[in-house]
Amino acid sequence: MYSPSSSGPPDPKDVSMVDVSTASQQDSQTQAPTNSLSGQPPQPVQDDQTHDEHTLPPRRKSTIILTDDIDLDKMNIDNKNNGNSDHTDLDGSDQMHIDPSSVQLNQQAQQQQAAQSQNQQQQQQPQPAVPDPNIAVPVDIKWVQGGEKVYVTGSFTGWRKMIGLAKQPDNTFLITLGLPVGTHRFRFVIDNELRFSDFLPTATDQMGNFVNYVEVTPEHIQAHLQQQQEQGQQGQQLQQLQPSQPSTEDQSQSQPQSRKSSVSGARRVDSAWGLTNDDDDMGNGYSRYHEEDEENPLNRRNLQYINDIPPIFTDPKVMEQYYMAIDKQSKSSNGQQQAWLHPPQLPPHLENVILNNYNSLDRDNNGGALPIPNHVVLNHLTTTSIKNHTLAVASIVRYKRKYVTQVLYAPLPQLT
Amino acid sequence: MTEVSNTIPSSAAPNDFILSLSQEQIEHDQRIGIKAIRLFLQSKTSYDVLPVSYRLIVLDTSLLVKKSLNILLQNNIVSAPLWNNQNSRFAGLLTSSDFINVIQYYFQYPEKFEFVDQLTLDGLRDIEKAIGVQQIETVSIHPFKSLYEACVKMLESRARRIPLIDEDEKTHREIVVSVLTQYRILKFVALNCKETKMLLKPIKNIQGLGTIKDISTCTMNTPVIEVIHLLAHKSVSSVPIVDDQGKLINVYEAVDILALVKGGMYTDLDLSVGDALLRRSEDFEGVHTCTLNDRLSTIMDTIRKSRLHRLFVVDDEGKLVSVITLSDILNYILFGED
Repeated sequence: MYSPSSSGPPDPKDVSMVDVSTASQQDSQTQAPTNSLSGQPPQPVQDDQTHDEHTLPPRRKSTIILTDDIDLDKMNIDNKNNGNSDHTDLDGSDQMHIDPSSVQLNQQAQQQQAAQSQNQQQQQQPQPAVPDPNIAVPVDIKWVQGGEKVYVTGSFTGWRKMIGLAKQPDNTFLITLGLPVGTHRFRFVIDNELRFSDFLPTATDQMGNFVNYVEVTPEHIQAHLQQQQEQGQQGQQLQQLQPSQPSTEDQSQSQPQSRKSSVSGARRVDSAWGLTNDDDDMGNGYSRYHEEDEENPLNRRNLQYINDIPPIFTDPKVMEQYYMAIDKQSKSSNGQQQAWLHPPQLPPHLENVILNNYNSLDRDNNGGALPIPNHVVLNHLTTTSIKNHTLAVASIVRYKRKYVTQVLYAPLPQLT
Repeated sequence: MTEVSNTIPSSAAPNDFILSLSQEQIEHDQRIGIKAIRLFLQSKTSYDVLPVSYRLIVLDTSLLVKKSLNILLQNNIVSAPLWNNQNSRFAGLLTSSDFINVIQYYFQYPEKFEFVDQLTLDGLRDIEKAIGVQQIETVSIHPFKSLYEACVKMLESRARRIPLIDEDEKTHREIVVSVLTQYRILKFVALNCKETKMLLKPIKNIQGLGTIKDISTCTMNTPVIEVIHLLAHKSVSSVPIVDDQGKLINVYEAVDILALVKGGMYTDLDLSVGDALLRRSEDFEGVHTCTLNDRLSTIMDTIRKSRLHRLFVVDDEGKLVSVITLSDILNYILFGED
């Protein structure tokens, strides 16, 4: 099953929690005896250590795996600093394997940075989170119906590319994709056969083909960003509490990281099987999801929200000056700026009425399929002009996980 | 005028592979294939067939019949669910058979033009009573019931389409979610069930499909009103048009009536069928035929590719032999090979 938000119980069979490098393990044992590894039985750690040493050098050739390792390093050594991953000096964390003393320095530096960013976050906290439409939310796509080679293909790659899913210990297959807001349709290719999952939402497309689909809404983006932020804050709190409260740290740490670690675990298996043929760019602007790739836009933005209404909206003099300036500008540029002078009649997103895109002569479309509506137009009423005393009104509503655009034709009451 | 297109030519190159199969093997595959399709229909719901986003046109029952006809034609649809704004309830489906009833009523009572002209959709039930036709029972089904159940309900009620009705969570009032037709379900099967390829038994050996049916026919010169009577009394959806040698040349469908009485004109009922067919829109799919040697696998493939509502069975000379309706096919998939 997929989950657009990154919450969920930690996978007990998650390998990546065990799969750590020597240095970081020693580091964590000596410096912070209450690190997340303390909950792990020692034997598997040893096993994975050797495994890691064998597989490490070839994997470093791939860019995907490199970030993978950094991801792990950060997770085990710098696990209090998750939300502020963009502060992490990647070279520095790589060096940690070699020189434990530099780790200390590094951690101190990071603590400072963390403190700084905490300040930043405190400043930012009262601001409402505005989702950037280009932000991708991690979506788990899971296949649970057997097979050996499992791929997914869908609207997010223009149906051209197949993306391999990684086999999980429980014989399911998983991939995490970063998907932007919208409805994404997809199908699975299981051992060269096109199939759909019985465990995911299904629908028919315009041609009547059965597909699975997932919807990413701005709420998901918001939840995702919030979680990232919370992770960061939680991590900092933990850092302060660490020496005195080992048990709480253990619990809470596994929570926010469960998802991230499962991603890296998935990719690890993936590459070990040699299934990853695709690079990060999957076409159409979609890319494989890397949590560490995403800069937190809250940190990135230096914009501030204020409570004061700018004088241009309140002071007639300033307003007049503004319009004069714009008017002058528009005259000099052949009236192209004219649009600024007049506010739109409707919020622009309401102008696109999907019913107007409907081609009723398309005989293949016997299900009356329409484009996926933007969620902002839901529950709005659109209408036609009155013809022959008949009025048609239409409204898009949700029915479970689908959208019904109902058009109701009714006569006007007879005026006598 | 001839629009007969042999979409499944009887002279299709015999597939060596199929010919190499033994009778027992074909029988065996057929049984397995039918069983798999049946399981598919049981595992999928009507909701599954719906696109993620789709259009649904609903007509208020206070609309005039002639205006509702124009709305159907405008939107290129042949049926629509009705909504009663007095009690805020679903009020059945408007289909071509309602227009057949109105035509028959007008034919019986030509002096009541004024009444017919101002007839609203609410008044259709009175028309049914006046001409003594049985009220069509409106069967409906919840969208989350299986497709199998939806098919059973349709076959039981002899309906070609079934409305999907749910209840609004807040107001507990009925909501019309969509309407499924037999064709949509069969196309859904043809598109998404690869087991249709296993159905290699010639239809002449299949009970219900290969059985020769007695069908009423007409010629190009038959008055269209007679054909309309035939549609009504035999409760069929089409009447094949044959020439004097019994060769199939065209078909008059119940949905063609919409174009005939367009704009509430009931004055053209003395036209011949041939002239009435000139009103048909240009994107008419054509008449689909097959022979008794064809197999359900090819028929399902044709259903996948083109919108058809029946296949006429013809012999090698193109003479009309029988008909296979979508109900026949559904009935066989649901209950055959047991």
